[in-house]
Amino acid sequence: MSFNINPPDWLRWILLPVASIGTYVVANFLVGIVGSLLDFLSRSPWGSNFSTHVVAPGIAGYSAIAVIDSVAPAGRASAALAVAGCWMFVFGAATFFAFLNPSWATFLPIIFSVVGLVNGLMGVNDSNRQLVPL
Amino acid sequence: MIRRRDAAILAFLFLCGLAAAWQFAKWNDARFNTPERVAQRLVNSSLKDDLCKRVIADISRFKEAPRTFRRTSLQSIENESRAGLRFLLKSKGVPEDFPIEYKGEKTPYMACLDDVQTWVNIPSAGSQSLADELAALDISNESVRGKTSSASAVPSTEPGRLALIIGNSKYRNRPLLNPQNDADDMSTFLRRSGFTVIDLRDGNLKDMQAAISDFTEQLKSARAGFVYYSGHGVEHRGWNYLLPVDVQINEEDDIPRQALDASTLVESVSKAERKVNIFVIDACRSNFIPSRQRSASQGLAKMDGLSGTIVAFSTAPGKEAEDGNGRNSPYTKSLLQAMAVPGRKIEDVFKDAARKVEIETAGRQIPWYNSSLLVDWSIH
Repeated sequence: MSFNINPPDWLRWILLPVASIGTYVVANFLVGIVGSLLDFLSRSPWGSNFSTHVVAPGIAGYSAIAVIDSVAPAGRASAALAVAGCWMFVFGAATFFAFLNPSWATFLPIIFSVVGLVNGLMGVNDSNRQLVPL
Repeated sequence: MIRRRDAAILAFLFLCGLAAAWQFAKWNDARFNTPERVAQRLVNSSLKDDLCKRVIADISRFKEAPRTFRRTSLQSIENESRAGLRFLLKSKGVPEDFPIEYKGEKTPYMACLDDVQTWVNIPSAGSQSLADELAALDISNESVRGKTSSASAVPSTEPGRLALIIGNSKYRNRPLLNPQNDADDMSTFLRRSGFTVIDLRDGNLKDMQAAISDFTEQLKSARAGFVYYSGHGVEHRGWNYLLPVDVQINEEDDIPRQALDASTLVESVSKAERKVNIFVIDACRSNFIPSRQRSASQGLAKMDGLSGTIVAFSTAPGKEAEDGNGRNSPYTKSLLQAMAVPGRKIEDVFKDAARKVEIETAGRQIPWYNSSLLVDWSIH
């Protein structure tokens, strides 16, 4: 059983920011939950802070750009750069507000989201895969 | 690898985000931090701090001299605070004609609810009644109970403390002025002290029996029971009776049929296996029975409870109690003041109340109590 959904290009362009934001939120949530659970089960000395503030934002940032690879109908590298630019604008603003009430818990997720974002962007740029229908 | 041009674009957009947020913050600041708003915030925070400081200072002074210290009323403390803050706020740039009124959260006492809870229990020299002050504070019991502090002497909410408060004022014959106030104030006090309270005001015999039935039923799962009755009471052939408001006694034999037997109440409540049962009967304020039909002596008869029980009367057996000229009867007023002292054993509370009543009534009324408590127990 396979799904071969091939929405029109205009719909894919519209879905692009939604998919990126949705992926960031869902990935952040899921990885945070899984990380906390694993930390709890393994009694990790890192504690759940590591997964919540470092791993989850990193993976979420990466996923938010990586998803563009699947959704963008054409010019994936440029699309990914544009979406990454929007994210950088958001994280720039978030950094300003983080400075108003500075703490490691506000800065770490921003930093690792940006790191994940840049990594995701590098992956898209290096990709030579053909466009795969959704 | 990411291209240098792409990295530059991303860094530029990051800085744009920073700059946009900065501009937004400036715009927001200009919009919401008008001089009036800044002054009002300053007034709010200063009033909150000052009121709490005054309350805490009063508590300290009360702890130093619990017998003599009287706090002022809520209105006075707020007026003093406003007057004191006028100069301070002026020095901080608040215009002289700016009204010093609190326009913030629900109450300026939010930061010191526990202390305020203790403070309102201190006997007051002000004219405001306790109920009025609580209404002015706009503090619900739940919000107070929700916060606890180890530093202050706030009453603990021990589970299973149940109280029955009955106040009968509106008698067909010989109505009384104060029982309703007494019952209201006692009820408020006990609620704040962590009791679950069953209230009954101006009850007929059926109401009183229903309330007692409800009380004894709920008491099965409680660890301490407190019964307070304020109203008329009579002694008939060695038994004490609490009179409902609809009582119509034409001859003494009507008493057992129309009134509630206090001894039976005490026995039924103190039979249950609990550590503490307390009965306070502020009755017998004037003799209810017409003298031509009266065979018994005035006042109530002695009453004993089973072990773990205190039975307290507003006056000695065979004597009359006064209704008082103020809001409360002398006994209830003294009892409330004595109970307000945190951590005091219940026997000491009754002793202190008795001493105060004796002084206030110039020896005409001497409260009496009988204790068979097996443990130390305090209201707080």
